Formats: sequence, structure tokens, C-alpha cells
Amino acid sequence: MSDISTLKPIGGATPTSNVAETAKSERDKELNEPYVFNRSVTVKVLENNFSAYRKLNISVLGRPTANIGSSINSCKILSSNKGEVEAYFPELIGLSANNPEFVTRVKDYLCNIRVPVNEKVTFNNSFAFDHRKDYEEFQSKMDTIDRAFEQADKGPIEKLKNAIAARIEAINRIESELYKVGRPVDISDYILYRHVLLYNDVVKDKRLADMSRSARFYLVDETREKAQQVKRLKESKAAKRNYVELCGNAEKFNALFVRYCAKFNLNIAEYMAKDETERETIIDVFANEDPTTFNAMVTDINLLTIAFIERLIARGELTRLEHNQQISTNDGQFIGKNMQDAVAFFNNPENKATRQMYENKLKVTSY
Amino acid sequence: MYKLREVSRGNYDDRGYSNEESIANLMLERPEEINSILTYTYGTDDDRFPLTFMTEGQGSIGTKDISTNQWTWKTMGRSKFNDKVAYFNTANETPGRGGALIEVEFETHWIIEQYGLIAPDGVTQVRVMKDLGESAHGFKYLLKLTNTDPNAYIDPALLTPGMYWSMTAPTITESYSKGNRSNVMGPGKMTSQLEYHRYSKEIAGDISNRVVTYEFKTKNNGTTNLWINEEMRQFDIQMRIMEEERLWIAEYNRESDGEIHFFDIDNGKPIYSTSGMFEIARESNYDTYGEKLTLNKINRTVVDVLSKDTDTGSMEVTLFCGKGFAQDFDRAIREDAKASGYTDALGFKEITDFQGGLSYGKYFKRWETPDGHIITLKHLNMLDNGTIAETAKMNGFVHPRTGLPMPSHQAIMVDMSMYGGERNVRKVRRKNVIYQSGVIKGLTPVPAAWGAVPQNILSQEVDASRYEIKTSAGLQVNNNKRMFLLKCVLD
Repeated sequence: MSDISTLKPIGGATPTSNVAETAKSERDKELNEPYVFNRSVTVKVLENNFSAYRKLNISVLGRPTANIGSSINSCKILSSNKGEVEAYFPELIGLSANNPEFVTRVKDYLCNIRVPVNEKVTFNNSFAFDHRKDYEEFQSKMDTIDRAFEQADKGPIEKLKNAIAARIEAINRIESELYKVGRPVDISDYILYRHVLLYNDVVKDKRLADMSRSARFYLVDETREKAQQVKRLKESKAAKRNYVELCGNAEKFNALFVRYCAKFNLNIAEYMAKDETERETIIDVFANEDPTTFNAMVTDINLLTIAFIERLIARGELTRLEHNQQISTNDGQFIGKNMQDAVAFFNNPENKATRQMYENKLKVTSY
Repeated sequence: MYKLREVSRGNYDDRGYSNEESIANLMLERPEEINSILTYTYGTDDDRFPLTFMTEGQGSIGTKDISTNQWTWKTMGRSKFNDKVAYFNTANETPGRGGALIEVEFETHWIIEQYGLIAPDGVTQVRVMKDLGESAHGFKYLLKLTNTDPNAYIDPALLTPGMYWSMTAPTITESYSKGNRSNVMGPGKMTSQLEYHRYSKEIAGDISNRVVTYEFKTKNNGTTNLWINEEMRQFDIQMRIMEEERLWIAEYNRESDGEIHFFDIDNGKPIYSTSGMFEIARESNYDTYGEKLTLNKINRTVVDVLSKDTDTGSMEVTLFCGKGFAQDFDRAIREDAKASGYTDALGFKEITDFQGGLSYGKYFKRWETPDGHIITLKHLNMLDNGTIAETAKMNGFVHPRTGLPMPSHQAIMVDMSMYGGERNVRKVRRKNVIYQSGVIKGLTPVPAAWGAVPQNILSQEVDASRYEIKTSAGLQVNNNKRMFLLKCVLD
């Protein structure tokens, strides 16, 4: 794709290019302006983890005033990034970074963490970015982390733990570099936010609370959850719109249905034989349950080609190797090392004849 | 460590060999008193049974024997003067401006009409003009700002749900005022329960009379060559280690509906579990520390706990701890002292003359807080050498700096004071099940340690004999407010 800045006007400036330049200039200006990302996280007491002794004597003992304390690994990690420590801690401990006592006092600060929590406590982890572009880059990285987490296998508890650990590690890595592009709005709260991310007594998923006797709190990232809720709603609305359009286009609907069957390892011939209402119901449920994937499939410009390839594989005209995803013809001719390559192969005008041949073969089948 | 010395090998058939047997005979005949004596002996010798020593080892003052599985005790909390906001309509952005009355809902009915209220900022004051009774979110009151400035209003943040307001004296007109009401607090009732333990020893053959070529040291500094004595010594000490550790680690298991859902597979009966010292302390006050312990952390923890009690002035606090915590404590004070410029003074104390050479090393074990509380450390061997610590070592769960097992880096404050003539911490036992023991005799000869058993009567067909012990235990802590658990955690 051409960069807008590389487009050269032909025969002098035109109104269209002026508009583009103005838009770009405004966007650049916006990206260079400071931006405050307002957010907060809340740590709540895990009531389910109250001991039976407290539950029985709750009228006398009352709710516990639990303390968020310190931990070895959190101290180590939070004090290990020299740049970050020198950027934030002088203000917190009242010493400049070149004071010989600085490191000791930083460690003291982190080891002294003691936050009483009655029911919940909220930390303001808002961040003032020097430039909006840095915020957008940060958000993009956070979205990548969220996507990786969503896609990770979180079924067995051990895998859930690994997925959470990987997510926390990635978030910590990104957050620890933010000092280069801005400053927390409330440094003290921000450090506590970073600490609770690393503190095991604060679980990041309630499912872990059942297996961890040390779990006393759980973390609620309100800003992120709100953003995800908005995103889910947007995806859901788009999915409804896409679904209605899809039902009015038989060719596209069938292509999507084939992709759906391939994705969930369903027998394409058997499912394509179902009546229209049944097939529409299946796709309707899919669109409601996973609108993001559904939208991605519907809006994929290669939808028809992929469905075409999947049908050929289902019919045995093409072969997909189980372990390396390579696709080849029955007589061993290499098509592509994966679906992406196979799509490129069939979209290539030079292979038009091959495509035509396979299309003709498919015409005689019901799926 | 006791010594093993090889002497000879042979059979032995005499019963009254050593004084250990004398005590053992009594164990069967009068188990209750003898149990206490043994505990005392082990406590002073070995330091592995501090809680048993401080309770059961002190005789009747440290124990309470009851005839039911559950027991209760009454407690009186601290007088309460505050309540928290349950609801305020945030559409009103300038509450109370120009003398306007505002409606605020509080969680309970603790607040009284005519009384004053002081806001969480400690400055803003209102008067409770009317008690409007029960409402959707709790109890509704009409409040009026006492500030005379007509433009003044209450910061809406002070009326956020969850914010505590405290009551001040009721202000009334000079005449024709109505009476109000008063709050009163009743004692609360706490409940705990006993748990039961059973230990068995089975022997077969002629092991009771077997003399080996090693000489074993007995509990009373005697020696014996009788193998069964050594075996019974191990059985006895293992049982006592289990009993002691259980008093620390037990976790209460009766649900709030009174049910116990933990059943024995064999007989379908519920298995009771009491609340141990760690749980009691943890439920009172619990905090964690990280890479290093600081005086600030210790002070805040202690002050936080002791300031809850209005009766105490300066207190002497004993912290039971492992060697790891003791090292952390020493480092904390040492760093503070160095930061205060006492390096030379420390050096003078630490480096001393010794037999023509030098000796290096003295460690802090006591600290007086700025509030005058004195904190003294007492080593709790269990945290370094107990079964949990040993397992932590084997699993590599050790402190990165000291290499000691992580359980060693913790301290527990146990309030062993006397309140109203009663010791705050007592071991509770079931009457008649304090320490039950008995022998199931087969053809196998039983050792003297099992007590006097008729020789010609058999209670089982199998050629083996069994020694059975059943105990009951629970922990009673009258006042748990002055207890805490401070623990170093890795993550």
C-alpha cells in the first residue's frame, strides 16, 4: 500500500491532494499532542476464600481487613529497570537518583508496601503520554497481548496459569518501558498497580482462587473490561448486520458455511446436506457466540477461494497434510505450504486453467 | 543427637529395666497427669513443642476440658461510633448549599437523630435533623450542614457509598427539645470445635524382648538396649510432633450452616477439624513482606494490631519466628542503625576480643518501637525443622538470600497474656478423651511401655499385639485481636 506522503501531485496541486495533505497534517498534529490515558484497576477481597472459621464467626470477627503486602519477586522486578526506577522513584522517596542511598530506599519502599483492603481498593494507573502516537502504539501492543491471551488454551488449570503468567509478563514488559514516553498521573498508585500484577495473593482469574490457598484478592481491570465490552458490542452489532447480508447471498453463505465446517472439523458433505433453515441456524448461533471470528470470516476477501479449496480437500481432489498443512494435488503437484499459499496459487491468473478445471469438477457435486 | 554404642546382643526378659518404663507404666494407668509431665519434659529439652508446652505443659491453667465437641465463648468488641454511606443521589452536585437539607442513606440504623456527624475529611460537620427510617439501601436520614457560609456545600466525594461518617454529641434547643435514643452493643459469640487423633502401634513376634547391640539413650538420660524402647520413643516423639504441628496448622471445617462435609470413607462419620494458631492469627491480621524486612514494616504491623485495643499502653510483644525471620529482623535494625550513623557503635558491639583474637557477630533480637512497645523474638524451631519446613527444603522452596526454607521467614505474634485470671491461649480437650490408650493383646508379648496387661487373656486371634492411642485437641484463644502473622513470600 502506498504511503500517503509518497503521493506526488501531477501538474501542480489539486483540491483532492490538498484535502489529503490537510488530513494528514491534522492527524500528525493529533498524534504529536500529549494524551492522558485515564484508567483504573480495582483489587477486591475474595469473599469465597474466607475461612470456615471466619464464616462461622462472621458476626464477631466481621470482614477481614486484609493487607496487600510485598513479595520478593515483585520487589526484584520493579527495582530492576534502572531507567524506570530513576524516572519514578525520586518523587516517591524524596531522593535524587544519584544519591548513594537511592537504591536502598527504593527497595525499602517496595518492601514496605502495605495497603489495607476492607472490601476493595482502586488504583489510578492513568498514564500521561507525551504524544498520542505513543499511546496508540501502547494500545496496539496491549491488544496483541489480549488477543494472544484470548486465543491461548486456557482449559486445564495449568494452561490457564501459563497463559496468565505469559500475559502478566508481557504487560509488565510493556509497562516497564512506558517511562520513556510519558509519566503516570499518580506514581504511587501506578507502582501499586504494577505490584499487584506481580503479587500472587491477587489472582488475575477467579478460577485460580479455588486452587490457591494464598489467594486473598482478585484484580479487576475496569478500563480494559469496559473497552472489551464496547468492542464485543461493536463486533456483535457488525455480526448481526453481516449475518443479514450473508443470508441474502447464497454463494457467499455457502462459502462461509464450508469454512465454518472446516474450522470445526465437521463433515462438509453431511452438513451441506442439511436444509437451509438448519444451516442458517447454525451460522446464527456461531455469529452470536463468536462474532469476532464470524466477522473476520465474512469480511475476508478470499472467503470464496478458501471455501473452494476446502471443498476440494473435502472431496479428496486436494490433499492437506495433517502435520505441516501443506496442500497438494492428488498426483503430488505442490499447491502451497499452507492455505494462504494455496489461495495465492488459485488467485494467480497464470493458474486460471487449473482453477477452471477444479471448478468444473465441483459443479457436479452437491457440496 | 543421641549416641549409639554397640555393646552386645542377646535376649532380655526382665521388665523393670529403666525409669522410662516406670513412667510408661503410669501412662496407661493415669494418662491425664502423666501426659502433661511428658510434654513439659520434651518442651524444655527439645524446644519442639512450644504450643503444647505453653498450654498443656502448664497444667490446668493452660487447658480446658469440656464434655461436648463444640464450645463457645463470648467477646465484646470495641464501641462503635460510625456508619457508612449506602446511597446518595449524585444528581445533587452541591449538597447542603444555602442550608438545604439533604437525604443520605446509611447502611445501618446506628446513627441517631439530633446527633452530629463528622465527615471522612475530619472537618465537614452536619447535624442529623430527622431519622426517616428504613429505606431502599439501608436507613435514610435528613442532614443539614452546620457551616454558616451560605455558599458552602458538602464535597460529594464524601458522600460516596462506603465512606464512613462518625457521630458527635447531640445538639438541641434550650427548651422543648425531644429526647433521642442510645445504641448498645451486646457480646458476640464465637464458636470452635475439637478434633480427634488416633495413633496405632502394632508388633509381632518377640520384638518386645529383643535386645540389640546398640545402646539407646532414654528420655530421662538413662540408657537401654531394648529395641522396643527405641521404637516406642520414636512412636512417642512422632506422635507429639504431629500433635504440636496440628495445633498450629489445623483449619476449621464446620460450615456456617453447622454442617461438616468431610466424611470418613470407612464409617461415613464426619471428621472434625479445629482452628489452629496459624489460622487464628491469619484471620486476625495478616501481611506479607518481600526481599527484605524493614523496621517500618514491623512497626506498622505491630502498631496496627496493638492500636486496636484501648486498654493497652506499652506492651511487650513476643514474636515466634524462624531463623530466617530472625535474620531479616536483624538486618532491618542493622540497616536502620547504619542509616542513623551508628556504624561505629555497632562495630564496637560486634567486634570484641576473644582469647587473644577477635570475635565477630552479635545480633538484634529485641526492638523498642517509637510507641514504646517492646518486640522480642522467640525462636520457633518448628518453622526451621518441622515437617513443613523440611518438606519445603526438599521441594526447593527456599529463600533466595538465606537458603532457609520459606516457612522459616515468618513470624507469628501470639498473645499469651492473662485476661481476667485466664490464660488467653488454652488447649481444649474432650473429657475422658484427653489421652486414651489401650492394648489389643494377641499372642505376641507386649513391652513394659504398654503397661500392665494380663498375660493369659487374649483379645484377638491374630498373633500380634497393638497399642492404640486416641487424643482430642482444640485451641481456644479468648482475644485474637492482638495476634498477627507476618510472612515472607516469593511471589
